[in-house]
Amino acid sequence: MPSQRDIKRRIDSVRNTRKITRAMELVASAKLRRAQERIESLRPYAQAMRRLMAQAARQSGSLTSLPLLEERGEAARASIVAITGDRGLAGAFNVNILRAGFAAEAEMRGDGVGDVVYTAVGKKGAGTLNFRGLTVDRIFQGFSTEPTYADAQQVTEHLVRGFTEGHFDRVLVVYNAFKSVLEQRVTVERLLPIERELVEDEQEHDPLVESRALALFEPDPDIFLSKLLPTFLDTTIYRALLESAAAEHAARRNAMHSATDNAGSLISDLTLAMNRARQASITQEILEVVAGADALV
Amino acid sequence: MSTSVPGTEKKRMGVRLLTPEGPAFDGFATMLVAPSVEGEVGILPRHTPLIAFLRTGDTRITTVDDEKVVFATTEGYLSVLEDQVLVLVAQAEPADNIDRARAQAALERAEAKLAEAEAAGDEVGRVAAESARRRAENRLRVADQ
Repeated sequence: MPSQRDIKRRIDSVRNTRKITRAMELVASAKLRRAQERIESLRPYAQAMRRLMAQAARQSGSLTSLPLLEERGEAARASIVAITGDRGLAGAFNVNILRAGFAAEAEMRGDGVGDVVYTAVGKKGAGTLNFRGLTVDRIFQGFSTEPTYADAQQVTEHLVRGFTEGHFDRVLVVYNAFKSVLEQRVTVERLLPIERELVEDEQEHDPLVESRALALFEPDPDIFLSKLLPTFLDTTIYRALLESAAAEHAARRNAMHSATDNAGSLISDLTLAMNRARQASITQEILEVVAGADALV
Repeated sequence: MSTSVPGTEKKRMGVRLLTPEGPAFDGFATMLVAPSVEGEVGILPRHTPLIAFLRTGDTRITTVDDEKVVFATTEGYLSVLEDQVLVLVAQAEPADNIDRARAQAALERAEAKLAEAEAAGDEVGRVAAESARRRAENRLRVADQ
């Protein structure tokens, strides 16, 4: 049975741990709020971009000649972009992504895709993928909690290049979508080739777009569209990075919140054990005194 | 509005300058000049619908209060629709806010990165560094105007 001092020492140690986890929880909450604001500030840009793209698609008429939309019948090679965090201590945040990535890989291999490479965004994902001996064609790291648009552009540049040069015929993105503070949903999206419906997206029936005459394009709509698509991908990746950042903070906040709670209940258990130990030793001492007194009579 | 004499009210148009990191300008203007790839374009109210590419340069807005606002902008898109002007760019920085020293440091950093990427034969890194350098140069140029 541990002595009172041992238990006391453990209580102190757990208390210190709780201080740390509580601080991490607060930091994560603050950062989460900022990350959510950044998702919000992207929205007007993303909407305007979609609208512009739909308009260009409508006026260009044919989408067949665009390489980024090209469906390659026999997809032989694919890339999976796994967006994880640079750090751990966020519950199952990173593990979920990799698990979904592996599932996507298995499914694609079932469909006859022979060659699957990973593009790792985030240090944690890169570490695990390397450890498992999987092919990682490029690692992006250092911006998981605060991605900038320039970071997203770099990732897109890499993917678009790989796709147009034929290194892969399909690109999937796996990331944690930020649903709410309590929920992150692992999302698998096809990035390339770009799905046609996304480009032609007509569901936004705002009167401004519908009423007006054809716009003058400078240069013509086809060229315009071919330049706009990479920007659309930048925005898509940027959005995924932002969502993942917010989700990471949310996951860390929740993980640290339960860690703090657990430390609390551990402390009360240990306190109880310590009180018992103290009581036991007091009883023991009384018994000894009484026994000693008895012996004298 | 500046005047109430009929027929002389200023024509105005809504201008939104958007970046992925948030709107840089959202308000009414009487004129906008943006650097399209085919030369500078000036937009006045009642312009015909137009969609154009922008190159890295400066976008100048004259607001309804006759105030001139200049932004250093990167590559992007311009769309004019029924007196609604949309400028979509990756980055927009008000000229008054540009910190020369920081822009200079960014330029040097971009050049170092460029040299590094070239030495390593890293195509993706090179493209990124090149556009970073172009942005930094543009910021300095706009700040000097």
